[in-house]
Amino acid sequence: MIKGIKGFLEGFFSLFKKQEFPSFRELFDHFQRLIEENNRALELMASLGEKLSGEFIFDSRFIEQTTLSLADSVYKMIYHLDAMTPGKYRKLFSVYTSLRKQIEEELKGNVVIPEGKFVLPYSKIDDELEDAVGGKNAHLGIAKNILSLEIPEGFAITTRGFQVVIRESDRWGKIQHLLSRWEGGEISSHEVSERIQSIILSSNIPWELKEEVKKEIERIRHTQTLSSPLYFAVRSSCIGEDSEHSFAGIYKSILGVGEDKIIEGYKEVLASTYSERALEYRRLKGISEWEVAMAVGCQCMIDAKVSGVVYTLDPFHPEKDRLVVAATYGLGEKLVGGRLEGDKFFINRGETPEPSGMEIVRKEKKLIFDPTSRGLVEKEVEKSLRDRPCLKMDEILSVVRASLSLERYFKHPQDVEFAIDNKERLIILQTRPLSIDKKKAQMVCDLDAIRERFKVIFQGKGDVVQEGVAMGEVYVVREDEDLNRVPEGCILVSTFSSPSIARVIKRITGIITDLGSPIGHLATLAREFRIPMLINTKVATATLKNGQKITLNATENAIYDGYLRELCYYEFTEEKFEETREYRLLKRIYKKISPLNLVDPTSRDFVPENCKSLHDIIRFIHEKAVVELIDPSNYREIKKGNGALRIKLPVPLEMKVIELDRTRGEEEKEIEMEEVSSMPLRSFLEGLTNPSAWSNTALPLDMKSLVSSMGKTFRLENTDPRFVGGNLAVVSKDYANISLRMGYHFCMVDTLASSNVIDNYIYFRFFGGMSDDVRRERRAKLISRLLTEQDFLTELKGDLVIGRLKGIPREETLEKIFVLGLVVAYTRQLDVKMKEEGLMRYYLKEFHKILLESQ
Amino acid sequence: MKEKKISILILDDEPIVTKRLKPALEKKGYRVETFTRSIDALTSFRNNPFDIVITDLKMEGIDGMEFLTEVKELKPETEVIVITGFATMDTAKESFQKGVLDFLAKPFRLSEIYEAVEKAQKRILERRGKTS
Repeated sequence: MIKGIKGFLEGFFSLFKKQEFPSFRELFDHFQRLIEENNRALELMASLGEKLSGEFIFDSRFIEQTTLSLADSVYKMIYHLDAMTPGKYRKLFSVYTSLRKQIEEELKGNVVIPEGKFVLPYSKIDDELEDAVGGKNAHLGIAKNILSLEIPEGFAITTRGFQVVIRESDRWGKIQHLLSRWEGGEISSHEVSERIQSIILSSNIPWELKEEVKKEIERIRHTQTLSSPLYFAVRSSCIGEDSEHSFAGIYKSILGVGEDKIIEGYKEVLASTYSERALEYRRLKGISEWEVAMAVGCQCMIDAKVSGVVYTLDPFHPEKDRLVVAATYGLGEKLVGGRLEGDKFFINRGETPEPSGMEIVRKEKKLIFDPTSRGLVEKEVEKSLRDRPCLKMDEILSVVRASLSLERYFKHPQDVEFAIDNKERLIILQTRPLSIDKKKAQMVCDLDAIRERFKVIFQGKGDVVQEGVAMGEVYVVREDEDLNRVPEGCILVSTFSSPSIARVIKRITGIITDLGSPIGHLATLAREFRIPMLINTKVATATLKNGQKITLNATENAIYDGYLRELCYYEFTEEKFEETREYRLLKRIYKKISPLNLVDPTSRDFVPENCKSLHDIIRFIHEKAVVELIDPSNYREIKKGNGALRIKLPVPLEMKVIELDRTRGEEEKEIEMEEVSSMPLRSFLEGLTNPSAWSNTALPLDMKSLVSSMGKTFRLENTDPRFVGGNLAVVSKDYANISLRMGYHFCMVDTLASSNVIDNYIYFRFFGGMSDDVRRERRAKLISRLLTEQDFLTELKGDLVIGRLKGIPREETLEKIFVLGLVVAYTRQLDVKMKEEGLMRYYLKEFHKILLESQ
Repeated sequence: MKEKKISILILDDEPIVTKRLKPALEKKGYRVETFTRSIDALTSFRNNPFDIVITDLKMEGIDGMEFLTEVKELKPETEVIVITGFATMDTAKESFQKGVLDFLAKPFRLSEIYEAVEKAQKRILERRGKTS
């Protein structure tokens, strides 16, 4: 990249004595490599994130290769930082090692659960943990943590328990032997099942597991208002159960287990893994015995007033387009397993669910759980209630709404078990995919014929962030203020992929943006909530109108005019890539890589120990490396002639430059802007000093900001070395690294504009401000938007903005750098003015004017 | 006469790949069979040659290059599409020398595989047109 420097620098610096700490040249060398690895790591991260959209077919090898390559880059960054600042950030090594170990465990197929080894409360379970807690538990976790539905208080005992109790014990040899004999036809299913179950029932449960269960039960007791003993439903949640294969009724569930008997209950459910029925079922479905892993769910018993089951699509008559709700008083054991004795309610699906009929039966008895007898007991139903519908209309609609939100998330009709307790709370007990006859579903939907009837508004534009089909009315968002009035169930159409959209994500069914990149916080959220999302379409806000009814088919990357309800049915028969092991693995690993927790470099929390992801480590290292680089004590050693030259600028700014690839005369202490030999630096300065961006110098500083800024005047400067150093550029002909402080704003530009298109890049970082937090954030937001408009990949977190651009020809790169200069100059004091949110649009327009003027 | 559906054989040792490709291509109207072991794939191909073969190259214990060579020998008009996570200039060259129609590096977008299959379909239909 920078040729001929070696010889030049070597000769030059050989005059200086060897120091313990690196010389400036060595420092800069390490810094450059650090940046190289930084950019590589960020690219790999983006590559991983992109695969989460579902558009790509990838395998586990891809995950492994990319992840380890990324981790290696991070390691190299740590190494280079340590070379720049020997011993100062040693803690990074241990933080990195711990993260790397977790990632390697995941890659080996061992799900790393956040706390403990065996027990996870439902509050901590989301969809990626399905491989540790099984389908049933994972779905409940999703209902609670993503869809905000109520579920019973409780916890999961993970597959790790199964592994330790069964696989890693000396019993496993015996069990394996029995299974082989059964598979070989030597012994009957009945016999092998009896013998294996008795082995399991007589086994010892590890002390650790028992302790973790005890602790969880204690925690639950503290959240309950009653202090009486707790009773649980102990249910199987096998890997693959309730997901790919229904396994309905195959494994055991035990109701009314007292807290002192949980471990016994656990053993019973574990043993049911090898019941005769289960063995036969697995054999029929071609599931290998070696793939089996059982997790268990323990849920507090519900004091049920009414229990029921919802089929979000009538499986016997899918063409009738309706939901079926079956319910009865007390517990719902009589309803499950397809028997559906009890009241039946039919609700038409459609824009607004409407009741279309009901069949009421006489309900003479109800099942309740009786703690004193520790079992289910039949009681008489009050005479006045026997012939009445056991559910009121608002209760039915509430159940329907909850079930449809589950259906929408899983993109498949659901079989939902629920209860309404004596406090009138709707509680979801279980949800699983409803088996619908594929042929029947396809009858409803002739895709090609449908497509002919509906107009495509646009297609193939932008990137798919999350696949899926959404139908709703368009709601256009141009300013963050528009987010205050987002209607429920709409499709959000926004100019920017603003992080503020996060606060309305639960109300919307789809997102389409003009600008933005597939990585970043909003994209992550859309995937988390499985909300279909298209990004960077360029034309969305211009083409779609408020209130317009559209169908967003993100899977196809097409937007249709009107509601293609049949597409939903079509979706129901599709395989969901989100339900694959590889996708979940990628999500879990991505969580250890991508989320940014460390944001504020000036905060006391900005320390290696608080790095929770590889991205945190990358961010930390980059910050510290920059601080180190521009510390004036590092380049004070460079004297005479080739030191830091001052550049004469036509604006009230100081800038020094160190030119790595040339030597100027000894007498030169100052150069004109036009004499700057580095093209990128020149472009930046031209933008930075452009008269149009400085024309509004007399800014109406209001008294409030002025006073508040005075109070803050020297605090930051005292603590952060970045604000102590002057403005410095380290450059060569094609390269520039510029650190600039204007008032309390700090920005850094690192860029290469060479004749090799592939190598070119711009990395821009901006931080800080003078007024209060809100205004600083607005300013950062403005800068982030200006960058996004210029095709930068932008990240915005609080008042930190990062923009990246790469792989464009030299001329274009220089043009973009010029615009960066303009942006920095233009926004230098805007935070003071940013009194209102609405001013953003005004400033955007003003900048566009300036941009035009400057051409 | 009713047009016979174009048949595709997919061979990849990673089940996630075959699991995702099968429904995606069936949706487009092709008849699809998937295999994770080359020996099973070959047996099936011998009994009933497919129109299109999609195969990985480096699989556990299986050599995809050998497999596709066999296929081409059994029925030279078979259109072969290679999907691989180890895309290099050399493997690409070797593949094209063996008459492979298209070469996709993993991970790839579904739209890319659709394009490759459509390309193969076009050639097959043209050939059928000539012989009818």
